[in-house]
Amino acid sequence: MGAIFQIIFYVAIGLLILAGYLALALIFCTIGVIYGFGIAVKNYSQAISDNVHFEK
Amino acid sequence: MKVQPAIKNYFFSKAYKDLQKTIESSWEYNKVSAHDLFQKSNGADMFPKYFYFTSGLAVSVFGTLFFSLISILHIILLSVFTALIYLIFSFIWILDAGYRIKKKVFMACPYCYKKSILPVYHCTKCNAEHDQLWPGKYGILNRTCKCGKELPTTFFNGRSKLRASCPSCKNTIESVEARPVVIPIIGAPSVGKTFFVFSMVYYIKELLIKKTGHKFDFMNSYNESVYNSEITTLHSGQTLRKTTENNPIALNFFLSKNGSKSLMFFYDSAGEAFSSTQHLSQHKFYDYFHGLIFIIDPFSIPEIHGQYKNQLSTNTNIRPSNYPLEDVYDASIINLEKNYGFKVTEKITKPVAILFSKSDAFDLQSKIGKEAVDKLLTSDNTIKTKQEAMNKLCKEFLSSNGMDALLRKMEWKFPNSSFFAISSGGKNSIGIDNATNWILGKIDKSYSIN
Repeated sequence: MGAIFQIIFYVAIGLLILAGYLALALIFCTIGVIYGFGIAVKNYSQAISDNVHFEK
Repeated sequence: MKVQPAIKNYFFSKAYKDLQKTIESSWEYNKVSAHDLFQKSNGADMFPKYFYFTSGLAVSVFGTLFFSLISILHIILLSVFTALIYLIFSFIWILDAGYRIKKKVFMACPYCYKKSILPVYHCTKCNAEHDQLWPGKYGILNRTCKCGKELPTTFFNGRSKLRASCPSCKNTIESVEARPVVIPIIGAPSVGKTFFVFSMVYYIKELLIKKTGHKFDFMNSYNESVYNSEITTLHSGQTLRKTTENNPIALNFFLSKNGSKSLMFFYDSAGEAFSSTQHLSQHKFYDYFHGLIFIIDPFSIPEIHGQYKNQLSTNTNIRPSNYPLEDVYDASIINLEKNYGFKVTEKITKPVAILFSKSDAFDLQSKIGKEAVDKLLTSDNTIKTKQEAMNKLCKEFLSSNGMDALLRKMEWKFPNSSFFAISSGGKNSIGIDNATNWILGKIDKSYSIN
């Protein structure tokens, strides 16, 4: 019983660590996507401010 | 449209260049950013690596796909806005051009006779020349001169108040976009053209406008002083100085009524100008005249001169023109045919007033004057009006004095003509009122009292 419980415990710990890792990776990836999107927005607005001049 | 010393309207050129540059720059910035993020992900540890990699991927994906849509949206928005601007531009352009066409406004230079759509307008700050100051790619209601000064571009927001000059001779134009009404005076030397012009202006200024309700203003102080000086001389009974200018400067004055303004041009050339078509070829106003006044000195007709030979030799006040009448007519017609596109077989349908000057001399009134008109009206029931009687008498006068061939030529060439017997003496004139009313009324009914 004790050995089975130990195996289950370590598998659970392993899964928990994997889930944490994946969650953390997902968080980093999500932040990365948002950051990348932000950069793309910033680049377009930068392009507009660099090139569009209403003043003559 | 010719290049103007002004800055082009944003939506007529720069907007498209800006859009293209924006899209190009955006792609370039995204490329650099993505490359930079991928580089960082290569050298980073686990989680930062994911962060930089997904950031680079997001920049690439959004930069290429999502912002393609943004660019399309940008193009659509710009196109809609530009279409709106073009719509407003077209409306204002049509309004301005339509006003000029409806009011028959164009620029006629009183000095070199150049005709153009509008004069050259000058910037009030730097004096730069704007020769096409109308709504266009440089501005719809206003344009910005290269010096930064805003200039109006339409008739309704003050364009005509700017300093203007002739595009050809550079003289100042003071027409303020009034409708030009151009009447050249044709006649041999000493037929009384100058006497007639000033008597006609006197009649318009002192009598006619009181009945038509027009406001009379000289175009400038030069015209006013010339008129005042000449009319004073005329009223004192003295002879006016002889016109020596083969290429005359027009006598100009405005007639305004109910918001519409006309600028009269009376061209009084030296009679010698009619001696050759070469002189007349410089008179470009024959390209756009509205009516002609053809003055005949009855004493220039050999038969009449012969009949009054003794009286003329004792009366020095009457100086008969010794230039052949047919030659003046022929030179004028050849000039129109040679230089202004009138065909030999073409009739001149514009109004032509044919005037017998000096009709107060001796017994001419009993032949072609009021006395003769009244007599004919009572004796001939077929003649209904005084003008009909005047025409009949003047034609008979020409015909019975050896000018039948000329009369026939005139009747054929000038189907819209009328004869008058006049005497030009300013306030003591005879027949000027009828002649003036007739020709002005034919040009525009509002100018006459008939």
